[in-house]
Amino acid sequence: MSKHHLGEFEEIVMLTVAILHDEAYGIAIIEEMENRLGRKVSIGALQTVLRRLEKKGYLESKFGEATKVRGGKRKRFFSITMYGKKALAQVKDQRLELWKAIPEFVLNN
Amino acid sequence: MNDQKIQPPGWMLRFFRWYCHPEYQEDIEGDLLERFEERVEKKGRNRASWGFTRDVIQLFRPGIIRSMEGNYRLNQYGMFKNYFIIAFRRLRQQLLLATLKIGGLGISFCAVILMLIYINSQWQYDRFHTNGDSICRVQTDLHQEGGLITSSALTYAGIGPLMKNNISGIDNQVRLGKWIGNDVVFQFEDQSVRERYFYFVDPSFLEMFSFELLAGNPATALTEPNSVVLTEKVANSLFGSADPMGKQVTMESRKSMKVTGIIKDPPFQSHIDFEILVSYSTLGVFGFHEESVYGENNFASLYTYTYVQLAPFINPIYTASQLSELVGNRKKDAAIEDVFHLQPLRDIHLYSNLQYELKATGNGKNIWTLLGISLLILALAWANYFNISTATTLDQSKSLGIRKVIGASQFQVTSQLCIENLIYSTTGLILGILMTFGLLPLIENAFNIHLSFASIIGDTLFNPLSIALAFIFVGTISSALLPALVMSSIKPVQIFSKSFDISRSGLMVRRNLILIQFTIILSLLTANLAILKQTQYMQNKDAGIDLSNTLIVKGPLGTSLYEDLSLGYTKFLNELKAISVVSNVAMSHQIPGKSLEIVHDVSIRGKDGLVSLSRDYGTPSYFGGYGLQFLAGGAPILVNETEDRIVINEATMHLLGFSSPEQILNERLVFWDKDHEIVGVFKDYHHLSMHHPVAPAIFGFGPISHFEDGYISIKMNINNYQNSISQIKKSYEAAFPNTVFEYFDMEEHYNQQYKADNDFNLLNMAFTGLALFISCVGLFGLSLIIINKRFKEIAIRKVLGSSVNGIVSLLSKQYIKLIVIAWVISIPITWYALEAWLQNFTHRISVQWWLFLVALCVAMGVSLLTTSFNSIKAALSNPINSLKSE
Repeated sequence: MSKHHLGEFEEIVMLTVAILHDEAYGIAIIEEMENRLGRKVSIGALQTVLRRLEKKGYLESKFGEATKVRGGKRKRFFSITMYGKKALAQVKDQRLELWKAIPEFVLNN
Repeated sequence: MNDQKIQPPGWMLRFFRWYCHPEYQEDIEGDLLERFEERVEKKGRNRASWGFTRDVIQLFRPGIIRSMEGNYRLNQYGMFKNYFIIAFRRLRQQLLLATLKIGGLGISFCAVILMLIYINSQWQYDRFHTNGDSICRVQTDLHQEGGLITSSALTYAGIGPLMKNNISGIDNQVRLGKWIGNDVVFQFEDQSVRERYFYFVDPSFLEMFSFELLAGNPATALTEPNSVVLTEKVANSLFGSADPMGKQVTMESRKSMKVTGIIKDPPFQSHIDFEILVSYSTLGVFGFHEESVYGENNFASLYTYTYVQLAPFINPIYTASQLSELVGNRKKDAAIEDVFHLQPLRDIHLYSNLQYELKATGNGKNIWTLLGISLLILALAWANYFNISTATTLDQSKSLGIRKVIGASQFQVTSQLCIENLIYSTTGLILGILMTFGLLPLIENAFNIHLSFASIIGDTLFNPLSIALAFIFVGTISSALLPALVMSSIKPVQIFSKSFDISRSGLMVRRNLILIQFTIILSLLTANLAILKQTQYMQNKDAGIDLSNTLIVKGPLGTSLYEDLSLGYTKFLNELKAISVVSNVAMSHQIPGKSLEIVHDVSIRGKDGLVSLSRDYGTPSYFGGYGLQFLAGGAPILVNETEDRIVINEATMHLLGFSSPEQILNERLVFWDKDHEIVGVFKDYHHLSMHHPVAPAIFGFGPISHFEDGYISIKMNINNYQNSISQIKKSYEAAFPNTVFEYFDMEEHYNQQYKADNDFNLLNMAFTGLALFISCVGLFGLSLIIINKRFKEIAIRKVLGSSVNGIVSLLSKQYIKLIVIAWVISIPITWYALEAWLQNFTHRISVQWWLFLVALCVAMGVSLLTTSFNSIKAALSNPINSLKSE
């Protein structure tokens, strides 16, 4: 059926990257997730997931320009690929399907 | 705004950079820094640092850590090839200095290897015995009135069986019985050999020791009486190519024995040297019963070497004390107290120095000293290498700086320098090995020993070889690494500044190294001078005896134990008297330079107390011939007055409790159940070398017919008596037809006792000279470099009017200062070491001031000569040449 297995955290990260579209880099992603979801995100977990998603092909990255802050280190901006969009869409559809299949009385109690 | 940026914790940052995958490093580090900066503003520095630390730890996860195999899968061969090319190019450009470096290393490696070979050849003694680890020799120390008389390698014949039967833990024992005479003739048909090195041995000899029996049955060859085992050498002399097995040889023309085996000649590295082995049971057939000197119940006469094989885990010290107790209980009333020790077989050659050793032993302490010196020399060569390398870094540092700018890592620069150093080290090592091969035959001839290169392989872990190899290994690595590390630590920026001179940074290190070198050299020089002086002192000290121009002829051997040789003697002596150059003839059982026998249980008639004394006997002319003086009385003159009369030396007189010679005259000494009248007291003389104190001794007399197998001392009145030998030989052979004529010079024989000392001195001097040479090589190189650097300065001084002298002294001043400081440091070290070494000698010199001064002058002179060579060359050069180029 589906060939995309996305973990919960991975999905959220991808969604957040999509939200931030051109400004999705490490710190920004963390802040966005903490603000919207109200949960603490460890930088280690996030970075690992970002690299893994990039390896899988769901995300792509490019460097920004060097600035005076951050000790001159450039930022790496992530963006979602077509493949990633397809995966998200498929996951979303699967969720919706599951929701539709729940009998009414369970939901309304 | 903060002018000074607050930095995150350095350690964590370094840690992060170390583990993080290089591709991710930049942006993740940027994120970390951004958060850190934010936190610093909001919460302060400490909480920001703590947050940073936590973040770094949280990032330590598999997805982010770098891969183990390394990131650069690049082929490194190209770089290595480049390093080699550059190294060889530099070598060619600095040919002289490179030669100095490699030569210094090569020579010192050669010295170390030669020393190792020599040491190993000494170390390998007696290692071929399979049971060697458990075999010990019984050493007998005789104590009298609380003092030690002598330590003897020979022991009583009863000891071996006593130990085997009464002490637990003794697996086996073997006795080597030494014949009571000196030499013996063995004959087969018309061939005869005159033998000294033959022993009567128990059958266990072939079990315990690993001498190879070539023919015959090891289990039975030495069990039956009248069995004899010959070495190949003797078998060839007596039988030629015929088969000796089963044939009968005669000993002293009367005792016949059967050849039951042929044994391989004992190897060079064995302290037990023999040519003929006779079964111990033969002694019983000869008439020696249990109470005799060879018997099982004898605990009074030292005639056998006894070796025991201990069971595993038996403590030799405890066993020895058990033995001492056992024997003490048997000999309750003896005046002599025996204390026994068990000497491990492997220690005998190196460390044993007892009376009656089977043959001359080596000297263990000297070996360690020589090893130390040769390793010092190697250290000196390495110090030189370090100095010269770090001093010539100017041009190389520019190229290194540029390499770093282009992108070389610290590791790459260091490995480039390491490779260059390793090239030098390896070339030096190969050169050293080649030199060793070349010198080996020369050394063998000079010291008359047998050396083999392959013998370097040892079997135990803690031996001189492994220590030296470890030293060489560590030294080579550090001599490659240290200069590399020093030179690769430059910052590229520095090379672009005009006043750049990297060699300044190594200056203190170089000064200190030179200081250490000079301290070592000065200590060695002083020690050498002192050792030389001590040896000369011992050899030149008046031994109290005149050994010059004396020909020694070995006494005739009778064909039976009591044959009357007086006819032959009379004839021979008359003919000798007729020779004009002969001034004195004496006969004696032993001669100066050979150990005397000990007679026990001697007392003065009418007085209590028993003593043991050394004893010799011969003709009264012994004293005149050797120039020995009497303090009172004298040797008997008339032949028929010689029986039962003896003379004693001063030491005996004191031992017996008398203070003046006149008092002891006419007293009677009692031993061997007979009275002997003391008719003279002679002045002490050194019968053995100065290493031994003068022992209390007596000298007995007897008719000529009792003289068999002793020595005839013929004193000549001319210096070169070689021509007279053939004449003497003819008379001897006519008078004693059954004996082979053997002779030697007395002085040469006596000085043989100092052979070990002289060899040691020679080696010492050679090594000190070598050390000095190597230091000079280093100095030469260093001064060359420094002078080259100061060329402009020298040129300007010359232009301003400085003389050659002025320039030379300017350049040499710093070395003089260093040498003097080194000298001051070396004085207490050397003094202390020499005092400790000299303690071992009964007759020793005192360490005097002028020894140190001479060493200083020698070192100073040689160093100045070396450095001034370059200084003078620089001082004489045309100043224009250096000021021209800019």
